[in-house]
Amino acid sequence: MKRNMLLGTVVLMVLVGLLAGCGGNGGNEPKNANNGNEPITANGGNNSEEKEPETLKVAFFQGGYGDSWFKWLKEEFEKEHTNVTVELEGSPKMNEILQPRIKSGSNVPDVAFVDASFMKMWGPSGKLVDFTETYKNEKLPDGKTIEQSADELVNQSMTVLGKIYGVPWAASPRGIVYNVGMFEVNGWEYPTTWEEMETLVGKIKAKGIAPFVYPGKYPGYVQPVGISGYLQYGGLDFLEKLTNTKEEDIPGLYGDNAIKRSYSLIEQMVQDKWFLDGSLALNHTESQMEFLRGNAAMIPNGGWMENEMKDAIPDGFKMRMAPIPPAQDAVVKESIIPVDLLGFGGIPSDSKHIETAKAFLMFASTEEANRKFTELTGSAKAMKYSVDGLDITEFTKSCIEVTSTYKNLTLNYEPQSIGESPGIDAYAALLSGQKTVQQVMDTNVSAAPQKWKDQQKVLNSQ
Amino acid sequence: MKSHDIGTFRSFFEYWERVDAMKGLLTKKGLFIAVMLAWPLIHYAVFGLYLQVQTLLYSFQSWNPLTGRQTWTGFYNYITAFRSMNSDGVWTSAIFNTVLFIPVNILAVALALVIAILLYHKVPLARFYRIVYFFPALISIVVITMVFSFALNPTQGIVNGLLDAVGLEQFKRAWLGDPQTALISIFVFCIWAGIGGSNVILTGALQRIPHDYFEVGKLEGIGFWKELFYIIMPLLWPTLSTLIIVSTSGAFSIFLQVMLLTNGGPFTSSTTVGLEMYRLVIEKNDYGMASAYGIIFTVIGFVIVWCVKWLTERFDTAEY
Amino acid sequence: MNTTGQQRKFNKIILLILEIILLFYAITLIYPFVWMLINSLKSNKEFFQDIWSLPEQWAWKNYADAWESARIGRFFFNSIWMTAVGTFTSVMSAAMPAYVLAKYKFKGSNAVYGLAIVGFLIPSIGTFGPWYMLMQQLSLFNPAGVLIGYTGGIGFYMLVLYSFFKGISWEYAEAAFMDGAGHFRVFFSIMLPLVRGGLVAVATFALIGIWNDYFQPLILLQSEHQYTIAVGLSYLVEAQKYSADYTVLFAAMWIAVLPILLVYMVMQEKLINGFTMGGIKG
Repeated sequence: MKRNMLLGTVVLMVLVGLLAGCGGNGGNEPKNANNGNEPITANGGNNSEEKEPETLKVAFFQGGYGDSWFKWLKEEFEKEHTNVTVELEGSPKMNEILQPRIKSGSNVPDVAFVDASFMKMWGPSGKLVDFTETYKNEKLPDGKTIEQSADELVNQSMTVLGKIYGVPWAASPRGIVYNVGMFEVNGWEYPTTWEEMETLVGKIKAKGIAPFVYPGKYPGYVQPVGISGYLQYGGLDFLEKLTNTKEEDIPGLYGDNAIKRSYSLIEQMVQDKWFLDGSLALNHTESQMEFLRGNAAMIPNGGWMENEMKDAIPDGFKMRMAPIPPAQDAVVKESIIPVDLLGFGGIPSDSKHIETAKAFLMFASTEEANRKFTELTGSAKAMKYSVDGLDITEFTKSCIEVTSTYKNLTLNYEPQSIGESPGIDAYAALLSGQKTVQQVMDTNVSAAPQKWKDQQKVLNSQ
Repeated sequence: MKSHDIGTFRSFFEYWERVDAMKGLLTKKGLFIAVMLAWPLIHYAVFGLYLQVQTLLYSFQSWNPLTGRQTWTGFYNYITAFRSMNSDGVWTSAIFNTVLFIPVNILAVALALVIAILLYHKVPLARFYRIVYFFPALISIVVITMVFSFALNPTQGIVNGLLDAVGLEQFKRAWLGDPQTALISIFVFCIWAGIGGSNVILTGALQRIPHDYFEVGKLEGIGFWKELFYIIMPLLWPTLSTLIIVSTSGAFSIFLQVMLLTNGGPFTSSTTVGLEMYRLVIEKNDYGMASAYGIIFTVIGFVIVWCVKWLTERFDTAEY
Repeated sequence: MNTTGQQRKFNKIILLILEIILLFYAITLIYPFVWMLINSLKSNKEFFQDIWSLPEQWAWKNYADAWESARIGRFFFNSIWMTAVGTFTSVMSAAMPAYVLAKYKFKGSNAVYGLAIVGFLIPSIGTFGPWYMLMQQLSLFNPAGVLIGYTGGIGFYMLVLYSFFKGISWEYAEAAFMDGAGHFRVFFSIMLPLVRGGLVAVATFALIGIWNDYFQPLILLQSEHQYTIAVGLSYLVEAQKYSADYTVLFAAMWIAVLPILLVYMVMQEKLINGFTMGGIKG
């Protein structure tokens, strides 16, 4: 998911604030009184003995979160609905292989947990069951609806042209992960301003270590640095323009100083050699391997990283998630932690077991299931729930702490906005040194009017 | 011994039988031909002609990404295609790189020929080489690209390691991650892994050449180059020219090597038409644009392959 | 005398250099497998620390894990039956038109031959989008779809077999017709055996091509239990991207590669012969 995930193309509207995430608002107080230990009664499991046996096929993208949570769901759901057999199908290619299946209506699963961009692609064209009613009215065991258990921002990002086609899945902070052991030994502190970051980078280099490493094959990993910049150097006004664009914004939008400043941060990182030599050749596991081997002090990455590398982390290796610090000239002088909403769970219209599938999605959204998700994957569900008493790692704790301490940022583009689509390759171009900031911006500015026209055309043909 | 009478009767009878059979054959023959051609023609009609026509039609249509609805948009896709070729250069780079694979593939054939000849002349270990050189053609490209990219790994790869060992540090590169060397590294990969297949075919062809030709050559005391150009090349030309045409058209579908080695990067420096097409269709579901690029590229490809074919035929007559 | 002596010396040096190059090339082709073997026997942590060291403890367990978790047996099974069926159908669907074109006169035979040449010249990648949609509409995202892709008889294989059929005297067929054999019988029991050399060559091509085919199966095969070796391996690579379990991946790759290498070692004379018999001509 994360590789395919282009922040800019995902969802609907800007919201800056605290994401639901793990900690809830402000601190670690449990949001819901219910501990989630009560049995699920969503769809009358009691009568299930008399029901016909059925098989519920659940297809899911098996990425950094693995399959353990789904195995747990299967087990618990089958206990509750004794007539149902859950058949799991996980694949790291699920996003690609499900498309032709959904479109041709053959071999269609009953439940699909995949990239959120498919809500847009399949929802309005009738390939997904309209889940709006259930999402807003059906009550979870604790008496709340999914809508009430998720943050406003999540609800908005789940809405596609006024309708909802599934339940939220994961949310992950995407900041900078640093090697705690290395920082401690050398007496370094994670910086609170970009200037301090520059000083720190100098010190790290002096030690003969690369300050950063990133997977050059997937430049999207560096994008969060730039996205934070949009807010830090452009403020809320700029974000509003970017994500809820009006026609008159278009000429100036992509030439804005906020974008220029953000891009030049990236350019600075490249030109001043902040990245490990050869980063451009690496994929994400290779780059994470360099980080774990201590060849780089920091790595821009997401909350899934620990789970992804769990077999390879050397004993005693400590790492933490950290936000992106602002420079002196920032408008919003705060460290920012971009948060991605990753994926959703929906029901394809061709499913023969829609009711059971709905029950499954409801079950997957209970507090119990959410807590289990965090426990098993070390990441957060995009809902409000307490993580008290869970056995989680230091790294996961740092992720929770970061999302609850610093300003969260998720870009949700309004339907008419063109998002970053004229600049989607900007990061690749800058990181490879193929283009200068000015060149990238010129391309974006000149492409924007046409993109706007195209986008409006698409909307109007609705 | 048969009596004359019976013989006449028999032949008379046979005559009629044969006429009957001929009649049957006439209609049966038509049926036979029809049956034999039916499936291949249907297949060609669907996957050749129909798809080609469909590509042309689709190239004038757009798919609404929200509803999946199809609408006619005239030359819009083409205009967008040329505009974006002008501005972001992704497809320009893709087409340019793809065309570059033609000489690379032909070079691989040439090297395969040289190796085949060397092995034919029984250099020491020839048998061993022949076995080993075919490895890459046998083994899944996924495995080969993986070991290749580990060999080129910037920090731990054996290539940089060897450069270090022999004191050529200044030549160390991020190979697959350096815009200057990424495409070249893929070229090297294609040659490194591509020699084996052609080599075996050429070896086969060489072994069919009657030994006398070489014996005569040897008696006349001609050298390696003369032998190559006056004996081997003309005799092998049918095989060689086929290999050349196959590797020319093969260059157009290069996609996997690139996807597995560099994912087209850094930026767009090593992308190919195949890879961009894959992205457009599988990842973006933009069938209209994919078709427009498809048509543009089909025209370019057709012209190039046709020229190569024409050239090989010219050589054909020139050599004999 | 002197010059030829020098010449000989010069030739010897050249030969030596060539020999070194050939040997070096061979080593570059063997080394990756050795490297993979060594690393497949390490623990993952060890691998991440140093990809060049020898394993401290030989982790044969990786092979057991690979076999168990990666369904390699299943992949093999799929590859074998799909290659067998695919090779047969692809050769047959090329032999059938090749035969009638070479041996029968009928209207449009030149046109059919021309189709093969044209198909050669047009890069097929251009039609990828419509192809993808068509396969969706026909619900062919399954092994059947892959196999159908191999049966496009009018093409390279047909041209090869065409020249073989051309080279065979028609008298055999005449004699059989006299004996009352039908067209099909003549084709199957007389003409096909006569072009055995061509069939073997084309089948060798098809066999290797289909065994390693990646593009079609990658796109059309929709679930893990349908995967062939080629796609299965790429699936493992993909899965490894999210679990960083390189050493088990290498073990899986070795398991997948080994049988091929063994079969090849045994069969390699025959394989070369196959190519020798088939005069591959355009």
